[in-house]
Formats: sequence, structure tokens, C-alpha cells
Amino acid sequence: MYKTAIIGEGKMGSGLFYYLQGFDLDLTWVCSCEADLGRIKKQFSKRINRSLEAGTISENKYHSLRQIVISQDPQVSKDCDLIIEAIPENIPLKKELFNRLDSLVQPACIFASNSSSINPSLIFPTSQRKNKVVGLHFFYPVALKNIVEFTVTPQTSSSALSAIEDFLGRIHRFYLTLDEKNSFILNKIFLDFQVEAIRIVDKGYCNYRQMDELIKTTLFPFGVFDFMDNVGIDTMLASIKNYTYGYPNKTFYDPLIIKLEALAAQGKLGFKTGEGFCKYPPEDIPLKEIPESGSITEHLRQTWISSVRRYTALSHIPVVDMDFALKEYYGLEKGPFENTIK
Amino acid sequence: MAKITESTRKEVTEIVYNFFAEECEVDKSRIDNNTNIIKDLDGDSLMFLEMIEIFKKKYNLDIELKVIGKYAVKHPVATIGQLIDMQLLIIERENRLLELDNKN
Repeated sequence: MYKTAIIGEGKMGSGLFYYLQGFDLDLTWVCSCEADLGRIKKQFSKRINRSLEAGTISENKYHSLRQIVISQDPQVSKDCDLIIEAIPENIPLKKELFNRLDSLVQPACIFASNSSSINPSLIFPTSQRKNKVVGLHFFYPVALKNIVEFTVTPQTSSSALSAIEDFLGRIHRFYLTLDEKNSFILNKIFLDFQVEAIRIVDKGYCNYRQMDELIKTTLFPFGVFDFMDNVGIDTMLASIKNYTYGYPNKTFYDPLIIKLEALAAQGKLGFKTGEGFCKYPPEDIPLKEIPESGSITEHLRQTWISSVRRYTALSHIPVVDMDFALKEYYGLEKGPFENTIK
Repeated sequence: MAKITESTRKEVTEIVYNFFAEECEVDKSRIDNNTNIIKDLDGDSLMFLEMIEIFKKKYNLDIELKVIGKYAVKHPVATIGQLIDMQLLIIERENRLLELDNKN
């Protein structure tokens, strides 16, 4: 399976395209109708010319990269063995795309979605191809995060599963194989932590920036509110609604959902609009220390550990794999199971 | 650990300025150390990664991308000046970059 198409030119689509260039794949890049194709092609051309000049690619590689097709016509993916979709998180849009592709693309082709919150069964065609559909959730930035959530549906065939495992091995990506009940497990673990963080802010112990600073100095390399602002308030809101869809008791998530809805209604969509939970660039106001910061940190740490244990048990992922995945996800030196792995 | 001289700094600065001028199609005279990579130049993480590959090759550096990734999460780069400083640290410390955080 080496003829691969990437669909979408956003952060994830372009990140995937440029990452996959480094491997022996026959790549095609399909961009949306709204994309500035001329600019994308020019940028690609500049990048490979620079790489050749700097000696980071060989002459042979340069010539093979020049053969890559970049187009707005999905027809160019008709002979592909694998198509990875990375378009916006919108179920009707994804459904429409895959229905169209289903009639264009050769029957053996596997369809994969890079969605971070929508299960493959919800978006793929109910055609003959239903045993060849999977989720392949890469993380941003693709080149730096060695982790992929590989989601299979009850219909995914063993040959499709092996083909994807082979593909992920070829592109040097570590993966967790998940069923749809346990999909997006890494984001779900972080979600519990995010909710707990906003509960503490809502109780008046600190503000968003203080909480982020506390987390950054004690737990993870990034803050939760900064993280959500970077992802985008609208994207976060849609994702959380998808994660919690069908949960019997959603009230735990209410404080975060309500706040995200309020920010979205005010057009405060995070970094891209200059304001979300925080303002960008950040206001130059010195941060006061949080009273009882030690007990807040410990409470958050326990929240995280308990989510990690619960989701690991539910998904039956080996602790050694979960430990590695969490280190990649958070950029941690030590994982939560470090002391228990022999 | 490599020693960073004034000429290394000049060379790195020149490469970074030329790279962004070409990639973002702006006149080099419009770029200085305070230029914001995202806001002023519409830059992205792909440019950052390409720069790292160029410096890895040029200075024959032994550094894994994941080491740089971990460092960059803790020390995000916003301006051209910060990017130059990070590249110099990468050249100086290579795979020992994260030891800086352990010291602090």
C-alpha cells in the first residue's frame, strides 16, 4: 500500500503531506476548492528546491518529489491504496466527501479519517467498502509527535488492519489500536483534567493564566487554557460534544461546555481571533501566586492519574504502550506508569 | 558542546532572515529580531521544521526532532530573534538541549 492520498490543506493536512514526503510513498495531495492551489504548489516547489540546495534531500528524492500530484480534483486519487482525510471536523462535510470518493476510487482502497473526535462509522459510506474504513488520528505537529490513534470499526477486516499496521510501521509512527468505544482516548483523558482545571478556576482559587502557569511549572509543559485557545474554542466545543455524545451522565463536563459556548457566542475563538480564555499577545500583568497551590497541584495530578488508569483498563491497552503514548502526547520525560513498568 | 562565536551567530541570523524573506515573500529589510513569525509573516510549524533540517545538515548536528519538540513546547518561539536564539542553543547543545531545563 504505497499510493497514498492526503485530502485537506489545513494544519493537519499539510503537516501530514510534508511528513509523509520523507518516506517511500507515491503521494498525492488533494486540496479543497477554496484553497489557493497556486500558492500551495509554489510553496511546495520552493521547499523542495531549498531542500536540494541545502543537501537535506538527494537528487533522486528531489526528482521523485517533483512527480507528486497536487490537485483540487479528487479524481487524482482514484488509483490510491490509502486515502487519509484531514478536512474540518464536520460530519456532513466528511460524509459527502467519502460518498463522492467511494464512487471514484478503486475498490481495494482503504479510507482513513484523521478526525480527532468523530468515529469512522459515522462518516464512511455503507457500501462494500465498509470493511476498509478506519480512523487514523495523528497529532500536531505531525513530525514531532510520534503517536497515532488507530481506530477500527466492528467491520474493519483483518487485511485492512494489517495493511494499516504495515503503513504505520513504514512511516515510523507508534500507534494505539482502539475500538470506537475507546477512540480518541488521549484527548478524553486530557478532557477530564481540563474540566477539573476549570472547576477550580470557577471556584475562585485563581484565574486562567495563573492555572496554566501552575500546570506548566508542576505537571505538563503546556497549560490547559492555552492549549484550548490554540486548538480553537469552536473546535474544542465540537470535539467535546462528540466525545460525550451518548454518555449517560454529562453533567461533569458542563462547566467546560458552558464556558466554551459562551466564548464561541462572543466570537472569542482563541489564538486565531486574539482572545479565548486568555488574550493574545498575553497581557503584561505579573501573575500572583495561588494560595494553596500545592494541594491544587496534587488534586489535579490525582485527577489525571485516575483518568489514565480508568481509560487504560477500559481499553485494555498495555501499560507500556499507554505510558509511551502519554509521554509523546504531553511531551513528558516520564510517563505515569514509569515506576510500574519492568 | 559546540562553542557559539559571533560569526556563528551572524551566519545563523543571515540564514534565518534569508529563509523567511524567501518563504514568506517579504523584503529582507522588513524582517528584524522582533518580527513575529505567525502574526507578521504568517509562518507555521512546517517552516520551523524545515529550518531545523537545514541547520542539522549545515552544522552536522546530532539531535533528534523529538528533543527539539519537547524543548519547543516548554519554550515556544514567537519572534525571529527567539528562533535564532533557539537555533544557536540547538547548535551548541544538540541532544543535550533538554539538560538546560533540568538545570533550572
